[in-house]
Amino acid sequence: MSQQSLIDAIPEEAKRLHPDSVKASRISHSIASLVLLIAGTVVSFFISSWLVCSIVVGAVLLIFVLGFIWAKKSYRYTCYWLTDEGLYIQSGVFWRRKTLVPRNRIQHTDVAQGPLQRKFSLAKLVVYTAGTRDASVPLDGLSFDVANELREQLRQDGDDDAV
Amino acid sequence: MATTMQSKDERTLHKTSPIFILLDNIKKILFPVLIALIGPGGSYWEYIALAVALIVSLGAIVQYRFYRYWLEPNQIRVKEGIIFRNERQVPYNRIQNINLSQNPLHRILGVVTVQLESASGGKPEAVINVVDMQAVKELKELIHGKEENQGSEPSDEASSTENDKAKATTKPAILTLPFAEIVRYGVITNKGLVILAVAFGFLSQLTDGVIKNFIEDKLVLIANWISTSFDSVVGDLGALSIVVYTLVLCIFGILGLWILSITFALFKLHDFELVKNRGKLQATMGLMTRMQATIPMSRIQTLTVRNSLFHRWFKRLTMSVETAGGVNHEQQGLTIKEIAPLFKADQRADILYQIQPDVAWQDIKWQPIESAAVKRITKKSVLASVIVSIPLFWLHWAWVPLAAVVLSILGYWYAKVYVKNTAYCLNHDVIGFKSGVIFKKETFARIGKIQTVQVKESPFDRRYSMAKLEVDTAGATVGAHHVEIPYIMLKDALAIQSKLVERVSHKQFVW
Repeated sequence: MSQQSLIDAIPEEAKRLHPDSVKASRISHSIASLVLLIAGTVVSFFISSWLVCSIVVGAVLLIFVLGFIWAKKSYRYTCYWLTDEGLYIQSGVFWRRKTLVPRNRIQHTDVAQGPLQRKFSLAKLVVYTAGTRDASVPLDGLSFDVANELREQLRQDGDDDAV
Repeated sequence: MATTMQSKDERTLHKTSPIFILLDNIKKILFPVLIALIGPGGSYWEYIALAVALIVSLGAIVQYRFYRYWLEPNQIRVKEGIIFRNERQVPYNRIQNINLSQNPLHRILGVVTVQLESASGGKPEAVINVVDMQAVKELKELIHGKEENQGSEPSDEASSTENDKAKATTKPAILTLPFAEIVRYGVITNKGLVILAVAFGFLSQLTDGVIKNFIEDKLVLIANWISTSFDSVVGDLGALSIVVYTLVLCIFGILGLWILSITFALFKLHDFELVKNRGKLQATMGLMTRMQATIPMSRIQTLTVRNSLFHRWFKRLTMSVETAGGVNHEQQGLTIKEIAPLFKADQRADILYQIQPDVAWQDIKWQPIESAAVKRITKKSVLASVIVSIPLFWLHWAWVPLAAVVLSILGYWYAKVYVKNTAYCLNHDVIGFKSGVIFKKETFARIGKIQTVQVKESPFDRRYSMAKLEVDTAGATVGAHHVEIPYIMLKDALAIQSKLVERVSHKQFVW
């Protein structure tokens, strides 16, 4: 059992994000590219150069296509699982990371929803710790119900932040 | 009943407080106002600045009248503000550090500025500016429990030295810094550079005007004086004189820098003393402004031992700690990180034990990182060398391969030394990481203080089945040396992660 990559070390109980999160992130990418396209067109209109215009259109198209592929890739490489000790989140397409947030280090949790996420009934779970670099660990693209369920599961019994 | 309780708990600032609030405010606005006055100007902006300054200062005095705090059984309640009222409550057991500061004026009036830090990060939880020693004692008793108070307060006026000595006999200090050590500290840290940078920054603001001309004239005068007196002593050396001048200038520059640094160190560390008292570390220091930090040992999150090239020359080390109290910059408030600014390298084990007695320091075994890292770092530095060398093509093509080869060899040497110096350790209490070629640093994070554990894998790591392990703690300074172990095998990283998980989840986090 030689582990070549973090991907090979994912346990069986690991869960994926909601498949609709791909759609949601593609839509938000599209909106971003559209805004870029409009801004670029306006600029090239003022410069009135076809060369600039075509470069802008090409670049935006490239960004759009990459974003489209990236959404799927990112979904494929993101997973999370809950153990007795805490929450594991693994993500990243090229630069991968596996973050562990121990249960007894969680300060509080947030479930957040944007307008687009509401449309697909998705949500973002944010786990807060007392840390510095990882003061907040986000898990974006869960279904709203799963996010709430996870939040309940992470909730500790009683107030044991004893000092 | 409630009202009588309130009046019993209520405290106000010391009568002399407005002076200190005013001085503080003046200090805050002094620099911008100065620049506005001497900088490029002539407009009426400077008058507006002055008017604003005046209003701010007067406001500060009023501020004093509205500052109240209550020492309730379990918490301190602080109320401040005139228009925007602010009231906060901090439970005593959530207070991380108590820092005191006393400048000469404080000492004359027998008062002190108190800064309370909780783990909220950023700004201090409360700054009490100023109260008398009795109030400080009362506060300390409430926060740390009744029994203490053999600890030395920052010098109660003139009798301080005798007092300190008397206390030192009852409670031997872990560390004191005699003058020679402070001189070494000054040379090692070279803070003079910072002062120079500030001075240059200030000078660059003087675009024109009388003061700038004055300074320039004086500089030219000094240079002339040096060159004429030099010529009269040694005689004219012709072309060689430029070399000699540069050399002399360098020597004087370095000497000047050292003197500046040592002066700076002396102001900061004069009469430094670190004592341990009922599980708390108490550091007292300062020439003009005396400062005192009290840190409960159990609140130390990470511990860093620094060992730079200069440290090695003098066979000394510097130790600093991080607490969850998030005041990391001097602008945010009083901060004392260097709990042991300088000590002999062979005292290392003892100091470590004194500062964290419940850690098994003796069974620390350093594990090297993978030796394959030499190859990887060399590859990186060769690539970087080639890229850096390419612009030399415009000079002459032959420079490109020459520079690239020389830099690559240096890169290979660096990689070897880097890998040799990088290691990690893990025992039951701490995880440690050391790295650095010129500035060597070791950082230990207590396992009970670990917040999250990350295993990271870059595309390059993947080709070698390697990974990086990173540990996060509360109150860490962003960008500072922390436990981040690169170039270890992925399976080792995962094994450490699961080991840490097991231990962390059995240790309740206590700030």
